[in-house]
Amino acid sequence: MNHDFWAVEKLTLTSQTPEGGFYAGRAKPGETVIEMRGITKRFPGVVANDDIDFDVKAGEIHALLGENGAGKTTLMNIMYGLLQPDEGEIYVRGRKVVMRSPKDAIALGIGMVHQHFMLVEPHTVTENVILGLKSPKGILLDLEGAKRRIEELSKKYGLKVDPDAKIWQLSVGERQRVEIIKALYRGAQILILDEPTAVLTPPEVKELMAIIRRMAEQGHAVVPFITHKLPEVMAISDRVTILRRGKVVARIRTKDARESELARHMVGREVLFTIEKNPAKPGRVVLEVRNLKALSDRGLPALKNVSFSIREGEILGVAGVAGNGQRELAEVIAGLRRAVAGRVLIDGRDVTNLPPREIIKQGLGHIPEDRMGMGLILDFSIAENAILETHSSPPFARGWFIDPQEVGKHAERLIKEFNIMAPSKDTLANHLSGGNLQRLILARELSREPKVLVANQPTRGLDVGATEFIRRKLLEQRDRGVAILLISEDLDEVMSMSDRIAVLYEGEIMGILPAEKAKVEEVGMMMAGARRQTEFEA
Amino acid sequence: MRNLRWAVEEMAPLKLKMREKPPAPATKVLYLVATLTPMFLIVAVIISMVGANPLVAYRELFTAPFRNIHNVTEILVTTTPLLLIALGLSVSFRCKFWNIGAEGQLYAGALASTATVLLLKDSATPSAVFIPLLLVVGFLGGAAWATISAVLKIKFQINEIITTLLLNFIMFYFLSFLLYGPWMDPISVMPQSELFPPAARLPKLIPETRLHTGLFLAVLSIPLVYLILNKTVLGYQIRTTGSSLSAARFGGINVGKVFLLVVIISGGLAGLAGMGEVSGIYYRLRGDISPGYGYTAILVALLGKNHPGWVTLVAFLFGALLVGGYEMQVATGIPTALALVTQPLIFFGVLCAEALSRYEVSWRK
Repeated sequence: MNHDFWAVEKLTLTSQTPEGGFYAGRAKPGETVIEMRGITKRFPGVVANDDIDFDVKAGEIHALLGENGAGKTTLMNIMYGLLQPDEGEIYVRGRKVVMRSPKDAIALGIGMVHQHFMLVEPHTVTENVILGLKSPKGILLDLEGAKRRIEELSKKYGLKVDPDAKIWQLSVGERQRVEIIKALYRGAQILILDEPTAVLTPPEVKELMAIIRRMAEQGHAVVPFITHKLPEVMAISDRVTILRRGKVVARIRTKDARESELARHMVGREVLFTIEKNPAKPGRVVLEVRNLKALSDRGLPALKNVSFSIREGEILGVAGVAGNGQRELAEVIAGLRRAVAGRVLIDGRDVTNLPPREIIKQGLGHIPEDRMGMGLILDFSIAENAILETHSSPPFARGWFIDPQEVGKHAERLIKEFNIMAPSKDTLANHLSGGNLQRLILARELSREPKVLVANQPTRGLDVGATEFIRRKLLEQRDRGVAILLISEDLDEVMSMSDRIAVLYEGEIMGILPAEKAKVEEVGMMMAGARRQTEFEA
Repeated sequence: MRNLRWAVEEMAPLKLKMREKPPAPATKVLYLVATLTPMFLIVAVIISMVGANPLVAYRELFTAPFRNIHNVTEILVTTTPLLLIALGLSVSFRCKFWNIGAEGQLYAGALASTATVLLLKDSATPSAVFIPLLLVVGFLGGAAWATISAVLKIKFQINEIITTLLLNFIMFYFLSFLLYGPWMDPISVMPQSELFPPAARLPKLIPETRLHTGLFLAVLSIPLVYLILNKTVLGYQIRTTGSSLSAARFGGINVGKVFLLVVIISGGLAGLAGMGEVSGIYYRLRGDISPGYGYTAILVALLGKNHPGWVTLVAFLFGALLVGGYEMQVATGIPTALALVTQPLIFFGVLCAEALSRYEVSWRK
């Protein structure tokens, strides 16, 4: 995120006027506008980009696809001047360029739309768009002129947005349009879109696709970076370049390709979207959530009257687009966020707003969304991390002291049982890979034999092996009688793992369906805010 | 650190590259020499500007502290409060509670001890009761003063850096009020309290010197702090809280309680240092019992990386530096302040060496 932060700083420094400059004059359709040759970038211990070739033509949509850790972000940062490659060359319209900062990239007609928007909320759209640019009127702002240009751009590309609206009044989709206008206003011919659909509802995605197509028709080169939304890649792009472990593994013309082919390239083998699982044997209710209300970090309602219950030996999956209250839900249950109304019951006991310690004692296990910040302490060893919740009770604590022998034995047991790849129990957590970090969290949480397990994005960003391992373990726990709340943005995961599926939209549950009757289309509609009429809840 | 790197890349014609592995210890020493040398050159220029010979000044600064037994005892005299305070601060800094109010906490401890002495001076309390009582009171005085900041942070989320710093001033002016007012020694015209009765004085370690038994307390605190930080449940909670506040909350640690305990330890040790000064050296309360020990100890704790072993070493070196500063003043007539300037410069030098061992620096092409 530091990169994004810095990008704003750079933009505010820009006094570049959009007209003229190196990029004066239109590129002809089909002309290669940016070409990267043999890009290599190394970080301590990893080759993030290994001899990557990539090019985009004017009027083309060329998607970059790859899992987390495949090297997308690095390549994108190189393309936008945030990082310099160790080897390789970049050509913009045939001329070799060296970009030292986003300032240079912008001057060359490269624009970026970040996944997390960089907008000043109390300001209007117009004010945000001209932020950091030199005004034609010297020290006075030319808001009227800017507004006219924004309206022109908005008409030309179908980017519906009110220039006088304040950012905080806008929806996520509208904010993204403001970011696109910002880039176009600065004369961007090449548009880099970082995970453009990650935060959008399905209707907003459709609209965005129309805008992207419009931009391509107008001669822009568009480069969306996408992690796992294969159907979108198929629908929108002319070409796809697929990265895996820092290397280009495939370059495909989209119209010649099938979705499964993309998936195979991405993960390196055929993906099995189905998971074998035993029929559920639900017992009594262990987690009950009644009319829960909570606020987001910004003090806005994040959960509005959420109710559900989970039985022993059952997985309730929560589907939804990111930012619709998932994090808040997990945190309120774990006592990490205050419930402003409603109740949470574990095994019949009211645990609402109890200190986290008490809720842990009642039998809650929690795999948090933020693995490295919340789930683990990166400068602690595996052994120290393994006792995060249990360090103050026997056998790990003896009076005021911690018994290092017991702690060590416990860690070694977990390492063995959960196949954590590490030289020893004393290895620091920040030397572990993402998959092993998650195994460690899972191992720790399960070692406490919880009655209820809240798993928030348990497999996000993990490689296939770790993902399968985690999913198998979760199912194993379900069969042992644990009640599991599985929160995931990966719809396939929710559909294949859950016994029942709840859809969260803007802090409300749109409906709860039995998994065997749920259809992707229906869940998709609910994720976009369509309420389900008939409730299947027992 | 990361933003610093960006800043350097943008502002200076320098290029920083993260080193893939840390350099060898010998190389680190080399960096230290390379970064400290210019620092001392800067001071040398200033010394010659006030008309003194920098070579003589430096000779005094570095050799005088070890010239004779008396000077060595003086090093230990200054090391005692520095070490006590810095050990406490390292506990506090380990959980990222930025207590910079040790100076005030030192005076709070001294004040509490003095109040007890003034109350009991005519009671003929034996030394075996008086001294332990003063130790407890000194510790509690410093701890109580520091607790104010902890409570403000826990209850109202007020930044402890601001409150601990401001409480220093409140303590200082309150002390002045006492020393110029109700507590002023009736038989002198100085702003100081009455002399302590012999039963309230810490025994000397070596007669005819200022070295007192308070040193034992400081030395005893070294393993104690080490044990607390590394072997106890509380230490685990302190380190967890310091490394990741959200992980600590996630793990069910009562973060407020940890802050409170940490502040009691660090404030208490500073208070103990204050008690040592009044009861071990001056035998009365004065407004100048500390030449900024509470602030210097912040540097000691940070340079010692909050590790009791390193903190001990750094405290001793800074003690020597203080003694050397006085000797330098005597020998060359330049103000002690110039010797004190070397402290932050050493700090800078060490930070630069640290940066060098983390990053490869080259000119931008």
